[in-house]
Amino acid sequence: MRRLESQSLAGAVRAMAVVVPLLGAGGAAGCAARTTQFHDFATAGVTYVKASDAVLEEAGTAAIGADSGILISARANTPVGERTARLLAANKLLKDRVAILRDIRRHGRVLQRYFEALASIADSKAPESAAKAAESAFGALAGLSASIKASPLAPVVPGLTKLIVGSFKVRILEDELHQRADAVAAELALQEAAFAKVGELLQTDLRVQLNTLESRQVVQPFAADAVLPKEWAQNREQVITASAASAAASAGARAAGALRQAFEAVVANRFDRAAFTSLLDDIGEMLTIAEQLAPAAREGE
Amino acid sequence: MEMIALYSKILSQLNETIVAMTEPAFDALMQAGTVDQRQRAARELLDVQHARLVLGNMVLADIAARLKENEKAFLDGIESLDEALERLEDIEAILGTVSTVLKIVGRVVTLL
Repeated sequence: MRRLESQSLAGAVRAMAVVVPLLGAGGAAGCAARTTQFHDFATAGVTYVKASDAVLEEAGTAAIGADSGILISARANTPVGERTARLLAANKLLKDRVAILRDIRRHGRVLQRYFEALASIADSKAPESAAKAAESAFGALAGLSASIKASPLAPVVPGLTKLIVGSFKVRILEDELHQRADAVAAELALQEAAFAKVGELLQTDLRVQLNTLESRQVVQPFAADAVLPKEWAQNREQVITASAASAAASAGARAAGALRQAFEAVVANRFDRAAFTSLLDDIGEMLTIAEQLAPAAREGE
Repeated sequence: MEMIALYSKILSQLNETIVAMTEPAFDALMQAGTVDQRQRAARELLDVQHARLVLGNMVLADIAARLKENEKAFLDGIESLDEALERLEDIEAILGTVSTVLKIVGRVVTLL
């Protein structure tokens, strides 16, 4: 009877040793895929905030550049008595503009910290470390008992521990997703609306800068009787080639929209590598444009 | 909220206006006008730009305020995730401690 019990117990242990790794493999793959979705979304979020920061910085620079272009254009036909008041009023409004944009950028840093905190959980090596610790613990137990040492469970323990701790990790991320889903959705919709407006202002300011530059440095010198300045052809080329960058300033809203769609995909558990790559492309376009605008804006000054 | 939507719409129209008013063709026309026409055009250009700055600031300030309203949720999220990360790392600590204790016990048992 005892032998039978012992045999059935040994059989159960052997069966567990076969079944648990199989269950573990399926569960671990599911956990890893879900963790990857969170990791990718958080990574894209951090990249988006960094790119949006660059766009916001350029929005401030472009607003000042456009206003300076307008003031220069209108100066000759503005009565001397009005000039200082006009300039000071514009300076005050531009200082306010820079402060508001700085406020939006500061908010972006909070959002970045949130995405980084999400990534810290998704990237945590706790399951791997716990598996090693469990293996070590099992090894220590084996030192106490020969029967434990011979147990077929020995190779299963680390994998199972990794799976359990991995599932804790996914649970934390899922809980966070459910708790903050409305706030994240609202934030990303707001970001999309914000960058649609910021992009519109930026595009207008860049267009105005280029227009005033074209009139002042290209058209007026050409129309005048005086000899053309030696940098005239170069100025003309710059004005014409810079037009493309101003037309692409709406990339910010597109990137925010793509991040919002990515979040919806994470919620629905269908955010895959292809969507992640496409999202990074949208954000990359936003960053590239901000980088292109930086020298263009300085040339306009 | 409705007022901001209206301001935003007017701002979009002013954006289009200022681009048109600074077009080189428009500027060339202005340069060819009388002194009075040039001064009027310059004043209108500055007025449109002033209105753009005022409305732009109002619209952007509204966006900034709405983003700030949402901020508390993210600060709570950061705190909650930081705590969760600590708990996750505690699992490692517990297993690490168990392992160490067991190793010591193992040595003691061997000595006995």
